Amino acid sequence: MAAEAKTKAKVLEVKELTKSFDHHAAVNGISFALAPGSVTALVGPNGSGKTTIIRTVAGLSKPDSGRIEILGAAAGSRQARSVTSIIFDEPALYADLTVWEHLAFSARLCGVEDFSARADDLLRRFSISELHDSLPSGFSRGQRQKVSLAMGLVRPYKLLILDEPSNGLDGPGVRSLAASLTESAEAGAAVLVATHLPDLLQVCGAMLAISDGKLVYQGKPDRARIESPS
Amino acid sequence: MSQAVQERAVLRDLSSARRSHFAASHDLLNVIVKGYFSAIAVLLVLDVAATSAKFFVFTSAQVATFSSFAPRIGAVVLVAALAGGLAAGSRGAPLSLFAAELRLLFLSPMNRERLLRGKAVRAVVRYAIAGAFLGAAIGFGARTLSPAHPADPPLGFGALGAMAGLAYGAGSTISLSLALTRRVAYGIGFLLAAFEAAAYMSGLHTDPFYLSGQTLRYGTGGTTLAFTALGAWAVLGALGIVRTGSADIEKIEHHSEMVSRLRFGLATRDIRAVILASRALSEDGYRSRRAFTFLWRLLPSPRMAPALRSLANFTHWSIRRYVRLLALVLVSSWLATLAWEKGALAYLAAIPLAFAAGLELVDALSSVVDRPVNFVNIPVDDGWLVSRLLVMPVIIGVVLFEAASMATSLFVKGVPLAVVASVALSMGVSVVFGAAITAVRSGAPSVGVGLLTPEAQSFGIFLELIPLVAASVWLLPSLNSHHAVSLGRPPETDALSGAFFSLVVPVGIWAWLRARNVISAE
Repeated sequence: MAAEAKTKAKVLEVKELTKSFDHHAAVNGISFALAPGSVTALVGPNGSGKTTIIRTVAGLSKPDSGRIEILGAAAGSRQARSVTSIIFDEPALYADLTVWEHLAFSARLCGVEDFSARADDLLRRFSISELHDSLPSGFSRGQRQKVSLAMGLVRPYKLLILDEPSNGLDGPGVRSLAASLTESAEAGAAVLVATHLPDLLQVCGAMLAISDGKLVYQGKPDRARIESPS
Repeated sequence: MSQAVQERAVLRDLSSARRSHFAASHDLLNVIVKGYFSAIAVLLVLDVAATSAKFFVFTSAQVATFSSFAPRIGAVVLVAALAGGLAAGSRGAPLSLFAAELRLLFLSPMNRERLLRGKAVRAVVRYAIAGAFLGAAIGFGARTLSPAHPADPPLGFGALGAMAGLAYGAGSTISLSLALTRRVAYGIGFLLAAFEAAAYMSGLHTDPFYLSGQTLRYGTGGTTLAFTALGAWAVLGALGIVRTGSADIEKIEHHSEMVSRLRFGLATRDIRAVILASRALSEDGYRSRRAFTFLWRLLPSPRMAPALRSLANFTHWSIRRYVRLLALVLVSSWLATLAWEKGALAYLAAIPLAFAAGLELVDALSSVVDRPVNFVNIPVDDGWLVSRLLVMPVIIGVVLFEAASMATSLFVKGVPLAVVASVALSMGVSVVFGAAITAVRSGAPSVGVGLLTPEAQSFGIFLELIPLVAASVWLLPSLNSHHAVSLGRPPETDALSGAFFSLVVPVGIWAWLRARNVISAE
């Protein structure tokens, strides 16, 4: 009972995570946990290991050592994936699917069939309603990123992870994103956002700073640490 | 409805949606025109091959000799396919996993194992079919070239091709699923080769490769043995497919990224991008072992003469690239020498191989094209710099082609040494300069194809052929000497004069590079 309560208090638990590439430790013994309803910023310079952490949590990279659990399930397992939505910094869309189809399949692949209202709302929120039936070949970087965000938000999740989500977004886009993060947390999800933007830091209640693959700061958001984590 | 059934239904809808948009976004007339020109190109090649075939007609004795060695040749093909598959699997082949697919499907709660197995099925079947078609085509050619022989090789050759495809597919999927390191994969490949060599030397006729290879024997295709062997390789392929579910996604993703770059290079007809992506695919990028790195440490200063600077690239090449270059030079030289006896078909095969060797040799030029900032402190114009950077590749090219031609001429009778030496000299110089034009052209900013008129686009095809034409100038001494022989004259003088005339090409290219700078400056 106590163990169950403990698991419930942590949506994501990372323990002593280590991952190396060609004998270089990209992530070195990192441990942290995310509680439901929290928005946590993950900051650190380029190459510090943020994306490696996110890829490992997504189950796309196997850790060399350490443990990652999402609501008690191992990272990458079907159970973990069913409650985790991940949005990467580089939007990747099918050239032969419309915006609406992207959103529809993102929801349907998670077993959600009544997605229309939520999808319409997200298209409106990110000001891409007019792209509803368009193929993404002619989209700008920002428009692609907005579609990518809508795809990540239209599906159900208890853990939302975003890797530099504001790349290419205009001012209103960043504000819509910030509002979405807050709403997700209010709905009970744990949110982890890797960012360099002070705008997004405002909606975060906690911050993890990474440098050279090591966790160098864990606490309240601190703008100064965006530039200099340690 | 069970989860699996539901997943399959969504995947079906996804494929159907993609297909409908794909068909709608492609111009049918464009496809027909491309198909029409492709058919003309294929027919042209077939016509040249048929015309040249008369030089290659097999005698009954040659067919009998081949038949006696056929099982062993088949065994070697299968060992090579299996070992090649193991090596490819250690680098993440044969599955393709692209970013959009990864984000939408592999991050969803879909069964990843089933998705990977589905991809593996398609890959293995594709290899088997491709192998069968290739084998059948070779068998068909063999039958055409041996009209006096009653055998029917397409079936046997096709069966062996299918087995080789299955062996490659099985090797790669098993290697991928077991996450074999390259060292282990190459080690197993070496052991397989050693096993086959030992079987050959001890006269063993019961090893599985030999038994499967028997299908290659002229005229014995379609036997029970062929189907049994095919079945055995299919079982191995199925084993690979079943195991693929546990493959490392990261490795597949990395490999797919390289394949994606290669496709982009091909789509944009950027030869340099294609070469770089191919190298990255075969060498797994930066992880490859470098050869002769110690030589670079002996060189004194980073601000050395451009000709010496180009040497730096050669000292940083991987051992694998040296092997590839050597193979290209040897085979193209052998084909060029063989053409003396066998005719134009050998030249057609030699030209692209020699050009590829040239592309390997002009690697030094990439530093100028890609990172001109490294050279801003050197007060020279680009044309001069490019010419100086090509000094070392030309020297190395001439030495390699001379050595390879001399060596291969020992195995081809009736070619005067003066002809071989002249052609090799011309080859070494012209392939380097032809490849240099490719490097400079593909590195230069080009006008968007969409902005050009159809006439200009058509002319663009001719412009794209310029590097290949420049790299094939070595044909001049060859054809010159052939012409002399047809007139009953000794060919040596004509070969030599042709070779020296072809040396004018570098001067022309140098002038072109200078002119290009002047034009771009204006």
